[in-house]
Amino acid sequence: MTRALISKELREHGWVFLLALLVGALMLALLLFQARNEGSPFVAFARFVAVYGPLLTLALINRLVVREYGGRTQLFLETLPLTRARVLAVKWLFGAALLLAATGTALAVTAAVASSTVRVTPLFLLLLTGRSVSFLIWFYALAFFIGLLGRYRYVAWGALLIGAFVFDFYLQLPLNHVPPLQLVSETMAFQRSSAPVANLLWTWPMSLMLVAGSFLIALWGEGSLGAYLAQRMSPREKVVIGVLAILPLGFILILDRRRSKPEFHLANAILSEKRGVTVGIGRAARLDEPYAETLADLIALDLVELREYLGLETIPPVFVLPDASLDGDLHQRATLPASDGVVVRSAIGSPEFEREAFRAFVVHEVLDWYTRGRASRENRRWLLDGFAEWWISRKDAAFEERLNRRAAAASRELRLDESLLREWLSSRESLGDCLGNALAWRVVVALTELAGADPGQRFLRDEWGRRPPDDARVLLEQPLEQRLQTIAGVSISDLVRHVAGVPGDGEEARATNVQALLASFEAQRTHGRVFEIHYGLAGRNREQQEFAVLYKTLEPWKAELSRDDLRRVDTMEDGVLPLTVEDGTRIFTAVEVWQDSLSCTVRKGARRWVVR
Amino acid sequence: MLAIRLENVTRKFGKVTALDGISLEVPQGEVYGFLGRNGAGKTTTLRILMGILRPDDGCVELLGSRVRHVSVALKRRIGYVSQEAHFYPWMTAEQLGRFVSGFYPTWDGAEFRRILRSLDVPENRRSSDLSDGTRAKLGLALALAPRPPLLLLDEPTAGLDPVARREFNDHLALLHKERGTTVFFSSHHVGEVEQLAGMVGIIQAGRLRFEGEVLELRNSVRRLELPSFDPSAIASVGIAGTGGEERESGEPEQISVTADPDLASGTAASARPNGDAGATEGRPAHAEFALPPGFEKIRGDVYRTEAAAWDQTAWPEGTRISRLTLEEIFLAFARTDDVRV
Repeated sequence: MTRALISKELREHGWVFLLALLVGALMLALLLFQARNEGSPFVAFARFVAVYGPLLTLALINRLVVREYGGRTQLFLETLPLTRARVLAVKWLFGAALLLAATGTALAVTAAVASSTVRVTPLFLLLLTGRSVSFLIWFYALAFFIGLLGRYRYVAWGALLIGAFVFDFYLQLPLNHVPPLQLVSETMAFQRSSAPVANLLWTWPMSLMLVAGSFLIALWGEGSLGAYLAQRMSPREKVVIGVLAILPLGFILILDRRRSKPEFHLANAILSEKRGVTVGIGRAARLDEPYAETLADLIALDLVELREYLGLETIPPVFVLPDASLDGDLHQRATLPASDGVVVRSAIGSPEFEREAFRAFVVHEVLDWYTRGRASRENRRWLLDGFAEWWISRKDAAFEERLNRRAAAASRELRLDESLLREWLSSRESLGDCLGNALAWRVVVALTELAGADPGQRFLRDEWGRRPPDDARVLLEQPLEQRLQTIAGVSISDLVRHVAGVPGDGEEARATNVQALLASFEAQRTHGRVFEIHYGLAGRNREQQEFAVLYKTLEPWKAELSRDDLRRVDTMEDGVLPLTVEDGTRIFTAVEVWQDSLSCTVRKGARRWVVR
Repeated sequence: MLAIRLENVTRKFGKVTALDGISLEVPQGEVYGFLGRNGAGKTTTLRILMGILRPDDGCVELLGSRVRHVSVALKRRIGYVSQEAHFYPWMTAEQLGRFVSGFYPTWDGAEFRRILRSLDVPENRRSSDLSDGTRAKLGLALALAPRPPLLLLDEPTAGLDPVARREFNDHLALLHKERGTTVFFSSHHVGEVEQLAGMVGIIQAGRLRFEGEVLELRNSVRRLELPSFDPSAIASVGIAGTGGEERESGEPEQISVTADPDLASGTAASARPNGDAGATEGRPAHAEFALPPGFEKIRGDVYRTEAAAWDQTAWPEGTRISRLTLEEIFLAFARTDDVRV
């Protein structure tokens, strides 16, 4: 009887097993090749057991169990002079024998390969066998049990995977340190004399329980439980399972978002702590420490005042990492995946470093952090850009004058209208950071002048004073323009008109010292559909004037381009970009030139275009 | 010797009682037709006999042995054809035969091939490519090839077209004639039972309503139509009572008339002399006819008793007694209100 069953299984699944064994042989060869410089060929065997073993197990269970019960052919077996227990036992042992035969062959091959490079003792081989067999039998018993769950097997695997993910990622408990998995960690290749007794004592009872569970399912109620589980899911079950699957996933996502991250802290930083606000500047070679201390104090005071003005509940710790490799007027904010706070990089103390602009940048980033990035959305970004500059300039006449000059230069580049504010990211991309911030500053100045001090503050408190909820409630917020009108009594068109009326005394004079530069880009076909891009900058007042060419080929749907996204060529003369592009490629190009009169870099000829 | 004996066998599935104390006996060499509606308990009975299910209570005897659990050795002496054939779809008839032969020491390969040929089952076509009828015939061939002394067939012809059903049944009849195999088959096709079976059992809602020879069943169950009574004319009606004694007209106070809805559907009535239930002034008189002991009402006007009792009873004048076909008898048994589906 047993022979008839085994020959049936071989006839039915033989070619699949053969294919799986061929894949295994190939995988072992690759793993041995990969492990040739890793200390021992048995590293390859450990990987083989950990990866191929479960894969072969899943294939075996799918063929031996799922196919039999799913096709209800076990009902045919029940009509034959056979007991259910024998059918199940034959299947279980047949699959396990194939699995262990494949693993045993792999071990023999690995030992043969390894014998020329490492010492292979019988004890070591026994340990390897014990560990790999224990692990594989455990996984096989688990997969067999889950296979008998029939229509719920995917649910069970899904739950296990989610559980493993939570265990590993959220609880920070690496799975390969847990008994059955630890048996086949790569240390198995090097543990030559000691048996992992504790691991084995955990694994064997688990395997026994899973085997008992499998027989329980198959034999319970004269096989009715197994047959019932093998039926297809009803639509109602699918819905319930779907909801049950989504709930923990949603919970995990919420956990991820809500989990409070530890605050970032930079050890050995120059610290300034003022009324609960912490600002630190990292120490670096050639950093002027007294200057850094002053800067930290100034930033801390800026933030203390900001908290009081806007009624912010908290201010995150701010840390500055000096980085001399950056341009003086380029500041970057770091992404912190595992901690909370605002961390920025800047070339503190470089000739082009403008302290006020940097303080404004910090204010900008703190508000971006506080509003969970909502203040940086396109329809309201102008307010954030302008407010950060205004917050610093309101007590600094020199900085205010520089901003005025920059705003005048910006006005010559772009004629301010309502659409320019509503599509602020495009406007800013065209103007660059320096002129863009200055133009936004002028709009915020207009807001404070038109609305008055108190309504302006009420509006800003309403906009940023409460940390927005991190869920769908933000969809219920009123649009910015509506709140601007309701609270400050000012409309966007009022602001635009007011800014347009600023030119008057001195406005022309402010812009006269700005170079009239003209950047040009031209695509020239090299051959076929391939183009190269020539650039030039006309109007330079000296031949050796440096400028930077910025460019980036654009992917579909690419929205905001930050300066970090852009490739850059620093040059002093017209030339060709170091890339070739195909006909039809979308590309962004711009030139940036330092302007002494504005004390910042201005952007010229910025545009997105299609190479033809 | 009995091939099958069930005594008070009960089987429940949760709250549903599939078999409710069923008892039956099948003599060796007999063809036993097991009639019942869908959900009556036929398949459960057969699965208990095959050892696929166990009874909750009661006693099962197979081929002379009392069994609590049908052993592998006993299963080898039973051929079983299930209602739905769950053959391996990738196996041909020949491969299935080879596979099944491994479980039966008495397997007769030549006989298997002979049955396949006679039933017109292709040997080398995969079972998934066979029609339902051919698969049923293949199932019969697999069940018969070990030459079992007992054959259990669970609605083997369900879903077959009339031609295939006839072929199947003819073959079964022939095999029974040649070998004398005991056949216990369930069906809800009465004609099939009439064609093949010497004995019949009718199961309804988990209870055996009748068991016996087909001829005995037909003789014992008849339709009884008693004469209609006009209550206003009761005084002129002569009533035959229990003992056949005549009552004179002009004694309406001693006779009452009733419309017995169970017995006579309202217009027909039974009557019996009833001095106790005297007439009440201003109301119709009341008369009843009491059936003698031993009559069992099946349904409506269909009654069952011993064949002789139908002829020995003195019926009121105008009473009509008619014989029924087996199908009508089955319908009378089957149309009850306690049917589980």
